[in-house]
Amino acid sequence: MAKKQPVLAAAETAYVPTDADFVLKNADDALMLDTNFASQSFWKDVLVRFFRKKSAVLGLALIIIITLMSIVGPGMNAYTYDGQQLTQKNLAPRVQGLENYGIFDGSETMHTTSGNKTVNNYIEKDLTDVYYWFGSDNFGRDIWTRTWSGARVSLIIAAAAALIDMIIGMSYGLISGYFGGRVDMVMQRFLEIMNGIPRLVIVTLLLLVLEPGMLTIIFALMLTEWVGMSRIARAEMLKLKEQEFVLASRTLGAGKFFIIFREVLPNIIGPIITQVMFSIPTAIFTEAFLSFVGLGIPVPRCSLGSLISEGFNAFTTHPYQIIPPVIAMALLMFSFNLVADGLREALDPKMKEM
Amino acid sequence: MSDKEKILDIKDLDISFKTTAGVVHAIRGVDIDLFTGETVAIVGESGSGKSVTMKAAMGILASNATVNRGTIQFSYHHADGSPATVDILTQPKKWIRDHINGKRIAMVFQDPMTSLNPTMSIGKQIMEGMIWHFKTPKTEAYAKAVQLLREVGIDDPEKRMKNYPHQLSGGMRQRVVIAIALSCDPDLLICDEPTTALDVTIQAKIIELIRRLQKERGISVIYITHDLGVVAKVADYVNVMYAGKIVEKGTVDEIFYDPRHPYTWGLLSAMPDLDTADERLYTIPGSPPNLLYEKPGDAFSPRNRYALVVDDKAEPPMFKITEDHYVASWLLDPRAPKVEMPAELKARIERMKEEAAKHGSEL
Amino acid sequence: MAVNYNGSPLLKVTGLKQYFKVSHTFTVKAVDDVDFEIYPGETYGLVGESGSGKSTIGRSVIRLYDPTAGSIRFNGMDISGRMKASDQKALRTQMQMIFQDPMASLNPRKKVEDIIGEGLDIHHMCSSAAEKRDRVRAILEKVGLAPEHASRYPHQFSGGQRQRVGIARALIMNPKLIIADECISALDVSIQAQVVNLMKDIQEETGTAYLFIAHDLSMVKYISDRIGVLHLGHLLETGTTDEIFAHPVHPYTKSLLSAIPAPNPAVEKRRVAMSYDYKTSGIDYNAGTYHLLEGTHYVKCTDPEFDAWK
Repeated sequence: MAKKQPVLAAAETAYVPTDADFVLKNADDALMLDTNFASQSFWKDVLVRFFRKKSAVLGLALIIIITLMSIVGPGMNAYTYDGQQLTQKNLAPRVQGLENYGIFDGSETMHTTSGNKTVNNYIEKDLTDVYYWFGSDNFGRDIWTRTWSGARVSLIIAAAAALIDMIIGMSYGLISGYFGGRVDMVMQRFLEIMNGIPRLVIVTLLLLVLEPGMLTIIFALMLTEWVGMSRIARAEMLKLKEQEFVLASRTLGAGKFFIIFREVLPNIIGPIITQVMFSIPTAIFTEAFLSFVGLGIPVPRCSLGSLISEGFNAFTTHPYQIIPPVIAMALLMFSFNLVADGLREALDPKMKEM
Repeated sequence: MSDKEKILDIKDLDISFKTTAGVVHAIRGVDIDLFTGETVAIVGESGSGKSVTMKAAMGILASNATVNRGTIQFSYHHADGSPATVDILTQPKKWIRDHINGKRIAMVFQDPMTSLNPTMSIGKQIMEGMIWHFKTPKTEAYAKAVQLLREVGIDDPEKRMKNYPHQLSGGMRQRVVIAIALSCDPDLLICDEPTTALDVTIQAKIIELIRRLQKERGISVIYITHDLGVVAKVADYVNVMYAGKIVEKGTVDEIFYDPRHPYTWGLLSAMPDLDTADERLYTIPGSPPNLLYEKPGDAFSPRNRYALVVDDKAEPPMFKITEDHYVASWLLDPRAPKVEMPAELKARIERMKEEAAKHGSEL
Repeated sequence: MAVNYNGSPLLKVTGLKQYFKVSHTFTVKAVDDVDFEIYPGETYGLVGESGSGKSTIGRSVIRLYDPTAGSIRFNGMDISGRMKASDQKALRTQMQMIFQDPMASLNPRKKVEDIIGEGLDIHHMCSSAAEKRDRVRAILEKVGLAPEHASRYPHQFSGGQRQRVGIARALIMNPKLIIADECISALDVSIQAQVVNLMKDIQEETGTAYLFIAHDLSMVKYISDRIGVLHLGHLLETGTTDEIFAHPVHPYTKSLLSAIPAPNPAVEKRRVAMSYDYKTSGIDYNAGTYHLLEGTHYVKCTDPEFDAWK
């Protein structure tokens, strides 16, 4: 407060009125129409606030970069995610150009009973023209390619989770909240039962009837992932349904679903988007967790979770194998959370401006 | 007049806010002074800057506010009786919190439900200030809180001390808020629309309560309101604010019986009294200006039926009518054409004067 | 416009009760046994403090709530129970509402033209988009807003302008009765007068009737032909504006009138409002019945109370 820094200079160009100025304007007609308006659209305000927050912009940039990489990354070298080169297994990262500076030159430190020793398998196996940017795994597959195709799986899961949230969770919550009473009671009890069953149990049971794979994971998410969203949507609906603009629609004779989806929904899009962004990292993590315990994406396809699982097995001998998927995973969750946080503040400013 | 002690002296206050839409010049050179024991009312529409002015006086402006010019001199007495005067605007926030807020200047807000803490018993809330500012021992604070509740007209105060805000009615809550405001014996009480959230019957009671307490304690009061009925009842002096400027100031009688600014005319006649039988109310056309876009000259001219050509070119200065009565309108310039107030209002004022005379003679 | 009190009333409310069940053991009696009538082209003012049930009456009449008991007859239809589809449609077009809060009563995500045209869309009252646009523009002009602003959003308008939009939304349906629920209490004084003038002009032009719900008695007196005084869900006194203001009978009405602030310092500084406390007054609203004083002036009380007050 109270920094003495004049924003507006005092009106120094004092106009000296002349006699001719002292005449009534008599502009009665111009007075009758009211033309005072403020003009700034809601979304422009949201954008300004969002981009003012640096962490949110950083998060958004990271998401864009990771998304781009998951699209072009696997095609940037000649390897495929399932192509095995058993002769070239467990090679450390080696990058053209950087190898001359002593980093990423393919050498790794091995812990043996006789002490640490540094080896370079590329040289020992005489693979002068071979480069694995993130190294290769136990079957000689390129970790770079696998990391980005894993990230692709995670992003697909993220998109699926967002869709499920939006379609099932939102509708469920809105309907439950709007109708209230008995409908609400039944719907909420059902939701509590669904939520009460541990996800691992559901997935394990699902695997009895379905093939393991992306669809199964998405199906598992569909069963429980939307619960949080439906709660948010229901709470917002309860808040808004007694608002006067909803009552106004009712007095005009609007139908129930018109009110739910045309009147109320556009007003809760802020909390909905925020909730979607927050539920994405959870979904990504769920997939990773399922893959980690072996219930996820089947081999040879991979996700960040299964990569971490594989890397974990070789963690003591070849630690570089776990680092890329862990970092990708961490960055992805971190940046979705940052964006969600920024969106929440941008969509729902708590601070009043005056 | 000169031996009266000035408690608050706001000079040439000028405040703007940085918002996402641009700079809002909310306060544009406001002068207000208040003498000990007197009551000043600040009247204006929402957005006229009346609340912002008082927030500045309390040192609780929002963080995006910039004070461009001006001083707010507040005079008080130290515990030993020696007088002191500070400029609130130059003091650090912490100092204001420790020495001014609640202790010497207290505020009563519009909505008693939101200004009370719903999770704390009202007794605790009344005692809080005393314990924080004066380190009053608990038993002493308790006794004083009970006494305050009795003073603001709450029955069975000992029992009420344990109540929570939701257990009280709206009027009772506002009484509690007043008790909290008075708990540290402030010199100045700022009431921001203290009765707009209340019912008419309770409104009258609360206003009467504040008036009684003011007389008993000899404190000064600033009312921020748009309700002229409240102003008529409580104020000694009135400041009419429009778009961040004071357009007319004077004693309450001058404002009500001899208004000079077209905006004051509009405010007075927009509120029907019980004898209004006109087919239409005289109104101020249009809506309050958007302070994002400053216009040259008089901010009121787009809504003024009596606008002069000069109003769009230069801002009117304060014309002095009497010792206390000032008006910022070019209509008061000797060169301006003679303009009469609207006939409806004239008739109304005549009626008011008659009625006042009648009441005067009855008493 | 002279109101014909000899014809049949536009709205006739008899024995209206509106209870809300809070829990199994506790029921709020928001409106208890209320009778009143509104004639075509008339303005009926309902006054009372918050919690008196005045807004609830408005909402029951327009069927935002299902009345617990009593009958509501509107324009020859019984609208208190389950309605025929045709009655439902007639109610939703011929009775409209203006709401209290100009911020909350307009959907912030819809353009003004869509807000105003919503009723036309729902009841398919326009054959083409062009016709709808023209009607919206015409109505905007009528309420004193520039038609060019039809494509703006509510937050771009000030409080008074938004209330005009709310009036336009009701008006475009050509209603016979408009329920104005505290529609000026959230506005600044100078804007209140604008809105009241606008409402009077509209009544003059279209002959619509108003149920004007407010707590500001001086405004109610100014705009209403007849007034009903509500307290704790009971309609205590009703009559023409003159009857109520000149000869208030019920102690509550008297206390309410004594509390009206007058913008006159010399008078106001001396005035002391009368106190009224239901608990200590010894009056039992439930025991009272409607007693006729004169003309349309009724008061709800018991026989001995009536003898003592009149």
